[in-house]
Amino acid sequence: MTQQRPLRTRSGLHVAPLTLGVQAVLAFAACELAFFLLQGSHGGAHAARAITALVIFVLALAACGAARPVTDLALDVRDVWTAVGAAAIGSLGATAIGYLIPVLGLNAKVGVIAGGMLVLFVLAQRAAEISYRRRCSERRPGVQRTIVVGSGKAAESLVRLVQENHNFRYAVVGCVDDEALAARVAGKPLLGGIDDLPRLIDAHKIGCVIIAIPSAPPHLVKRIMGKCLRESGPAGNSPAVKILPGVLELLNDGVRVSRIRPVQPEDLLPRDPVRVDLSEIRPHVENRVILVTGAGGSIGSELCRQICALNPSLLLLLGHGENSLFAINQELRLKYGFTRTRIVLADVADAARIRTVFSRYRPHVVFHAAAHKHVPIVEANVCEAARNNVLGTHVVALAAAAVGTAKFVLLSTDKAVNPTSVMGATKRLAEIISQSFVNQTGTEFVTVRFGNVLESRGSVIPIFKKQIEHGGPVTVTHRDMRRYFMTIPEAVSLVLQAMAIGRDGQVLVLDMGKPVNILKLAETLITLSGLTPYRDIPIVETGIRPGEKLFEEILTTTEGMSKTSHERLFIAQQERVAYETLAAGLRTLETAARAGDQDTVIEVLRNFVPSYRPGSHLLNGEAHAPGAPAVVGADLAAAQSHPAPEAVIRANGHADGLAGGNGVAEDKPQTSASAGVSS
Amino acid sequence: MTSTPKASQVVTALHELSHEMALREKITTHTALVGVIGIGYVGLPLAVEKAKVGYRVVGFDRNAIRVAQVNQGSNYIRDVDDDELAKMVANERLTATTDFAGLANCDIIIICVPTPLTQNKDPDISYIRNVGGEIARRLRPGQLICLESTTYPGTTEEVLLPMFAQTGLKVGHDYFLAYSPERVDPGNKRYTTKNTNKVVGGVTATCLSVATSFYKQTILEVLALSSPKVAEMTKVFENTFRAVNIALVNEMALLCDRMGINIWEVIDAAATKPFGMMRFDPGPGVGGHCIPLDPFYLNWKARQYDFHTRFIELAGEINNSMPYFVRDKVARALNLKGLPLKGSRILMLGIAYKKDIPDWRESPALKVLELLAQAEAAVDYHDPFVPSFQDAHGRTRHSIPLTEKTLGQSDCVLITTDHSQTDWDFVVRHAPLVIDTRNATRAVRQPRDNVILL
Repeated sequence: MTQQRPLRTRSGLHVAPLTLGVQAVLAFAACELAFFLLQGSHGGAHAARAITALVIFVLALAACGAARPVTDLALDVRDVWTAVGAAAIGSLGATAIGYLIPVLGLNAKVGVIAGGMLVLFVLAQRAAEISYRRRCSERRPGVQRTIVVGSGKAAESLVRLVQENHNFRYAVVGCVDDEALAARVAGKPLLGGIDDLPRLIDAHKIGCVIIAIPSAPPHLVKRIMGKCLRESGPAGNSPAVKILPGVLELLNDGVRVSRIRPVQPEDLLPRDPVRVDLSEIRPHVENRVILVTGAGGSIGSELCRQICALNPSLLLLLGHGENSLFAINQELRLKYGFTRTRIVLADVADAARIRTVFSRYRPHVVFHAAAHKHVPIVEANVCEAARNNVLGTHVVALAAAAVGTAKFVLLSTDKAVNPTSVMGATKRLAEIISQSFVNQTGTEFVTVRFGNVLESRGSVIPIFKKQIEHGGPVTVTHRDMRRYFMTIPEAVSLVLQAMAIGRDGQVLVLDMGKPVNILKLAETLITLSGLTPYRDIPIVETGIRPGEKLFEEILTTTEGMSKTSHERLFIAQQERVAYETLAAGLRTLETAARAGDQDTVIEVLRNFVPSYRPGSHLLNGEAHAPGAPAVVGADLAAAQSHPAPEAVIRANGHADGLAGGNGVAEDKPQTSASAGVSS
Repeated sequence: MTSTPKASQVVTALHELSHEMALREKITTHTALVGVIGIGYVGLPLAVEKAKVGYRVVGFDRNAIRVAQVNQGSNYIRDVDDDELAKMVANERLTATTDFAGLANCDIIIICVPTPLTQNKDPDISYIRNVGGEIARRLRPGQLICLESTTYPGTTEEVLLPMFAQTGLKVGHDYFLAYSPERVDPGNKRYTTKNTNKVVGGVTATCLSVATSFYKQTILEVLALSSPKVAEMTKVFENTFRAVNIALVNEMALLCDRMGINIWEVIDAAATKPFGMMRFDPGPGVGGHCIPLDPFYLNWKARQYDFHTRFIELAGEINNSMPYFVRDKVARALNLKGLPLKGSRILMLGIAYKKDIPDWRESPALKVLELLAQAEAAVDYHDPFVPSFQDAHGRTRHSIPLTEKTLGQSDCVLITTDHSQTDWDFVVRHAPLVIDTRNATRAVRQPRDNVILL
């Protein structure tokens, strides 16, 4: 059916000519039927009557917009109201004309009956037109025949959205679910259980399977993937498996077809969905000035995204890399339509600059996400890391307390627990600083500690993906290495929750779910790519790098844990250090860090973080050995040009740290160096 | 017969004179090193003023966080200009430290420590004693020590002087001791440290003269008094005067409430009298560091002389009863709408003890909030200057935004602080019921049937 070109009447209403034509015929039928029913015969002498009634009803239909072109592929309440309105006006008009010109034989009875029938006719016409268009839409080239897995609310919303919107290229054939909640889902039949998928895919020539179970546990996703991939012949003909995002994302945005995405590795990781209570978070953010340091980073930028959805009066994006700040600012503007932002270029350890910013904007809540966090890089740049991670926290915390900020939230890491790396030790000292402010100022200092997050820059999954793309090998540091995994949006939403429920001086720990064995993860990723581990893609073990642990602890041993009102947040009980005790050490650290005195920096860190065990390269002076920190760039270049990554790694303990580090994989997609496991 | 002074006496006299001369010269040339002990709302503005005229100033404080904030130029006192502080710190004219050893290097030491009350409402001058001890350990000839903290008459001569005397140094000859009370009115834009008259009382004439010449450099009018006692009494009297007069007008407000007379109209009318009348406004009680506390210093001292300061007692009684009156007023207003206090949503506007400052300690609003919370009302607050505070039970409360929604959802809006930046028209327009204890809504012209004044 060709698209009708709508006419615009004087009153500004859209009228589709063909639709109006069909409706005119229906109106004529309704009038004649009414006469026939009431007076037994419709007599040939009453052409004038028939034409009058027809003209009146057609005018009413056009005026009410009953003949406007179909835009959404769904029957709308408005369709019902326009039909009822047109019929009512038509009936009144016909009755009035009949009263003025009695000879026409039009009266109230005829008008009402004709009007009533017209409502039914017009609605039937609209429904038929929409059904026809849906069918046309589904048969366009490029539309994939689709099966939806699930029969709950999300599945229903999804099926409805897909049907009603012309822009989506899915033609839903039906649904499958093991525990069916209904016989039909938004009008589409339930075709069977998940085990029937292979049969259904072949029978219906399915091109796409969408998982519409927001709470789908990873094992279920895995099972569905298996059904779709394994038994449907050559890999090229396998249907695409896509998934609706989890509950968290849906809570904020509702079901949108644009959110359907391919199945990601994180869907397969064993973890439970995260729930947050927006009503607790909103009062701290809505109509307030919020400042995020390190806003260009992976955690910082996600914080900005989630914060802007809560409508702050001003969001300050503080950082020192203008490119990343520009990028997140553009994203907030274009994608979220949020324009109340300011980019603040500043180094967090620059007291004068930070103080000026705080004095000018007086933020209500400060999220301190700025930190150097790549373990191997930090091992080689101790002084700069101490300056940024420790002194930066100190400067920002002091400035926040001075201007009366309500909440200061320090983002920390599980590496701060019994740290083995400079990074962990600096973050632990930052925590100690933040805690030392407790009850001393009007500001509440809350620390949130979490483990490895997925897709964080330098995280393991993107590195693995790149390695698989390049045909391997996939490198893991140790077969027993385990890591916690959580997606950044999940972790960040928990940070917001922690901000709301955290009290002064508390360290809140995110329950990251179950730790994942890195080797298993590598195998899964290779399988997901349609390849076989060890046969198509080799997996190489590279050994633990300086500062790395086999298993990240989230609590120090002296810390107990107590619950909070949120199931995924716990309070770490910690001994606090009085700020007075810290002050002198921080001065020493500052002088040493600015002077490049690495030994003193390490000494101060060990002094305040007794559990810190520095890597041997920092203790016996190896760090100053030729070929270590001074040749950061050179080492990287060497690592990249080197054909055998393990050789590089074994050649020099320090190069191990660097070459295996996250920076390599992140900055240079061409990397052939060992990505190992992200830190 | 005139006895010729012995040579040794002349030498000693010249030596003593030289301490005074040396200090005077350092003051004249602004080369004296000034130590300010206590860098809070009194000490920090003073330190900045002194640094601005060219002195090198060291702030001493036990609070290491404040010290660190000053050293990085972060300003935490509203009355101090952010940029001025930052500039003085950048020029290294102002530094701060927790280490009192530096007192030995200071030529002038100004004591601005708090003088709170003990649990039994007795003066707690432990801060002054501690600081006095620190100074005494390092006292050297040529130093001027000035106490600025509000205290009972006699503190300088009865507490500090004996401590310093133990060092063997002679006051008025070797070192100089004076009392000059701070008259800081936080948030007052018109009268700042610089243009508020200052009184000074010296232990000896030389002490007075040295101290006066020092203060004259940064303060427009300095009045020399005959003794520290007079200066101490002046300060407590000033604050007692305020406390008693506020109590008087509060009593009038209680009476007017009973008689159905608008107290604010009465005050406005009375204030038109050009002589013999001084305006004071009623309110939900008194707060701050001075008015609720200082009269007790005088009261306590008076008892040592078998004297009972009945006005002070009475004023305290009335002022302390005001939060209870406010609670009752709220209860009556809600009652007329058929609502009990229990479960009613009350939005308090202002938690600071007076307008345009961020200080909520000793604020009467805290007492009002506690009383309403005791009655199981659902109390929230909004204060642009106090984003959060800890209530009597150690629970942190957060200011909620002032929006159409928050106003509309409350059963009663209770104005406890009349901050200038609040849009009172907006409040009256959107709140179902407004109880105004500060007559903050005086300028609201639109229909205001929903407003109840104190």
